Amino acid sequence: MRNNLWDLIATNDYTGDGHADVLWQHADGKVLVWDIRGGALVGSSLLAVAPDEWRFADSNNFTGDAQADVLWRHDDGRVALWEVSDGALAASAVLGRASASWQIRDTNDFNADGQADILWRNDDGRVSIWQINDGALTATSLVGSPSNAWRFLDTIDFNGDGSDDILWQHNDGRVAIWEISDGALVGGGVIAQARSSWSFWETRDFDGDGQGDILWINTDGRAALWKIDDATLANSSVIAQALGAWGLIA
Amino acid sequence: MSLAAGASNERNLLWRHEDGRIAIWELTNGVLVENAILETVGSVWQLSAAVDCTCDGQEDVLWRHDDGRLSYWELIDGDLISNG
Repeated sequence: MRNNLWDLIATNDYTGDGHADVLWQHADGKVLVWDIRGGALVGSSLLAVAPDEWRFADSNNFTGDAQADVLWRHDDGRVALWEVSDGALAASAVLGRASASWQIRDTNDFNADGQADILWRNDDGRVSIWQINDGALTATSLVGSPSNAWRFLDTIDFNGDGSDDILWQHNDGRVAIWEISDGALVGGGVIAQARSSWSFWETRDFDGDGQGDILWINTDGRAALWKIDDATLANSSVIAQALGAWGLIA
Repeated sequence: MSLAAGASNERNLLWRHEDGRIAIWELTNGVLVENAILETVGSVWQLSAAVDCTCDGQEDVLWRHDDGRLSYWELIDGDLISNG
């Protein structure tokens, strides 16, 4: 895209070929899929034009067809889903509405049905999940009400039950996991405390055991990994230290 | 974000030096097994996305220039195979 009017808003498989594609949005609302294979652009298709006041929220698979869809939020609180299939817009529907005090924090699978759901946080701290199945809202639940001293970090499956869990950090450095099943809080708690020189980088399964781990970066260049097993801290180790003016970018 | 590197227990981290050098750390089971300088990239380029465009299970890197241009790095086994 040879100008700055296009934003790269997501990368995911929108064509069902197993390759990641690139989703672009133009300042005028147009949304475009680039089909990239082997580093070459092999196809480009216009999905649709997002009307004014609808903002991109996230992209994930909400329908179980192994192709990513696109989630939108209106200024008035409505949430809409574009179902994408074979690089084209297959359906578009409003899922529901949540007042502006609710913000979408993440989309992930919180009921182990292989389809993404929506994680919400209210300005007052409350946490809610919308379970989505085949592109429709099937259940909403209040998961808990942590104080705003607890900051949402990420979601990943920390216990290998197929349902993604929620990672939090308190202003004092404590780190907590909420184990989620069927859209509800079923366990978890504080797993450890991180000193203030350590910043959360990401959750990923670094050891291939099907349970997410946590990567931290220190102001002194060290990177450290917390290996999580059954939603508890199994091992903490420094990977290495980048000495000098290095910053982690990916 | 970090980069998927093939096997489920392999991931890569990318670091950028103030002078533009890009370094890669290759991790297996969360342990550093190799590190190398890949290339030098001007500050007008920002890392835009990690995306597996070749279906080899190894994520590649998309860079975006301040003027909107895109550049693509294909990474295989921690080596920069092609850029364009």
